[in-house]
Amino acid sequence: MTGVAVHLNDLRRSFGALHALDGLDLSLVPGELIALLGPSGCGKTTALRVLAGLEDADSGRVLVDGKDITGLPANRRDMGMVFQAYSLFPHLTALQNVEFGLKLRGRKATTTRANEMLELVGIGAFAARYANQLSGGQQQRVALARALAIQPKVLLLDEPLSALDAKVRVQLRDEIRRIQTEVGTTTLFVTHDQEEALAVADRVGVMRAGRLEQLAPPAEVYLQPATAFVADFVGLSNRLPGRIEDGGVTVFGTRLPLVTPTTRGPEVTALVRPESVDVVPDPDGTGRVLTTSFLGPTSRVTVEVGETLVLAQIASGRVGELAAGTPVRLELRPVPVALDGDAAS
Amino acid sequence: MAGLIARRARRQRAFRWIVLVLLGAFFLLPLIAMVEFASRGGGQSWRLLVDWPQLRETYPDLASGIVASLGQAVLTALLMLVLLVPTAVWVRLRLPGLRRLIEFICLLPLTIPAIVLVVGLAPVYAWVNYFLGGSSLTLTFAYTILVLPYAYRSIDTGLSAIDVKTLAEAARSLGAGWGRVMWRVVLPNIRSAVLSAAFLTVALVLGEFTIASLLHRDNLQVAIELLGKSSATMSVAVSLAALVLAFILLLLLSLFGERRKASR
Repeated sequence: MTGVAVHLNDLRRSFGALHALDGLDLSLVPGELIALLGPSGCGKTTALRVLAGLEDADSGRVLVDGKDITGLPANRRDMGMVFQAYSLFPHLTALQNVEFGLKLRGRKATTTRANEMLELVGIGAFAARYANQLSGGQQQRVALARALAIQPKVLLLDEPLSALDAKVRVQLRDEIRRIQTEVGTTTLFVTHDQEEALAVADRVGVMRAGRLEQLAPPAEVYLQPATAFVADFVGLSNRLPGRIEDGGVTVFGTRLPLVTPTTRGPEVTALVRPESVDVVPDPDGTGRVLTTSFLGPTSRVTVEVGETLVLAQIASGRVGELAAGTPVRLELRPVPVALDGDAAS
Repeated sequence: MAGLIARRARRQRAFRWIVLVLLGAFFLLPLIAMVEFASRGGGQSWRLLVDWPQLRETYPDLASGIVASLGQAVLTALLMLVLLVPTAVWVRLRLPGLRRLIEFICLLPLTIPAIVLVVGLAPVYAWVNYFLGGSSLTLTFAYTILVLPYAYRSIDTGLSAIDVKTLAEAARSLGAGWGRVMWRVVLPNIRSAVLSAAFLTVALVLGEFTIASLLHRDNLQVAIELLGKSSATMSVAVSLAALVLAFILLLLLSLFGERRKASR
């Protein structure tokens, strides 16, 4: 099945004084997987529920495949959804759960199709089991099979991995991406886990206060954050004092390009990624190593420069030369940086 | 030390048996007395109870009371389920803020004595008489209110055991309308709660006397009371039979609940 285009136009939704959606615009191209990422209460789940028809927008429009479905009830929207909470019907087996939507549609050979879908998600052997006989990961696989069985126009994933343990989460995350690519269904994936979003999505939408701060491919969101909020929310950032000079910002003597031009200055705070900072032992250096943390292939080093603490991420093989108290100098890679306090672009 | 613990365990076991025997005697002695009293006269009362045509001929008021009570029990259970299940589900899905209020309203009949309820119901039943006639089955409306506290508790407990909101939303996203959500998703998952509410309703309706008597309607208890004036042994036999029926219903309820738990 080929995917369809989805457009959310100027969606607004308030809960009392809280504006969960504040003029959200979002477009998904056919077959694309977009991950909506953001802190709790930013409106990402509300956006997904409005698209699913489980929540009504105060204003705005939802277009799927060119048709306005804003007023259509959830059961007539033809969307498959996987929920954060386990949502298998407890009185039905895994197979019957997958057949549920097919039977409602009066499809033929529902058992064959349901078995195919269970095989697709790698859980064909558990078809006769009830929800309480399946692990959390298996339940979410069945829920995914159930959502895909009806050949939905759009697949909606509402934090489907958040209740699972770390290892299963990574496995299922990759499975979801593989299956989504295989079936080609346009997919909206809501998560608060940035690693998950960056790993599975064609594009990542970072939301804040009911609006999109940035919508771009994962690498762009990480390497060229459009706003200080995105830089701060996605990955770690050092807040380092800098000075605007010649359209760039100078931090610790190194001139760095800006993600977006600014009229502010000259004194600013630049958001610099730990992996853009290198730490070099230097008896004349102005910094001093405070701590090191081993993370596997890389390690984090905290360096004190005057009153500023700087976090650097370096290859673990070099940690031996950076014992606590070692005098060091910092070298910054000239990658574009955002400035703290910049508004959304 | 071991001897001390063993002695204490023996004492506790003995105490438990004493309590059990005393309580058993407290409950069973009146029942045994009822059996003995109803069996006087060669057990004629028991024979009549299992011979429906003969019973109807000998005690027509009792027979119509039994029929009326059974009809009231079935209709009350149905009306209660039709009203309460969708309301409880809807409150959980869409109006969670009203949950406490609905619970309070449903528990109210428990705090109001039946005699006070009748004072309020009498003028209402004047209108019921006017529109629907004086059939004993019209007591269904009053009984539906009377069983609300027990039925609401049962159904609410059943709904608490499942994530109604997520299940309903999952079913909706798969294409189910509200009717199908209720019939194919919610009801099968609260089956034991619904049965429990229905059994309690039947037990309560079969034992109700005050409202039926004061509103001048027929039911089993009113018939038993009338029968007591002409045939004390038969009246006691029927009372005992009604009591045993209620016990059986509660036993079935308990067994069903256990079986559901074991099958999961």
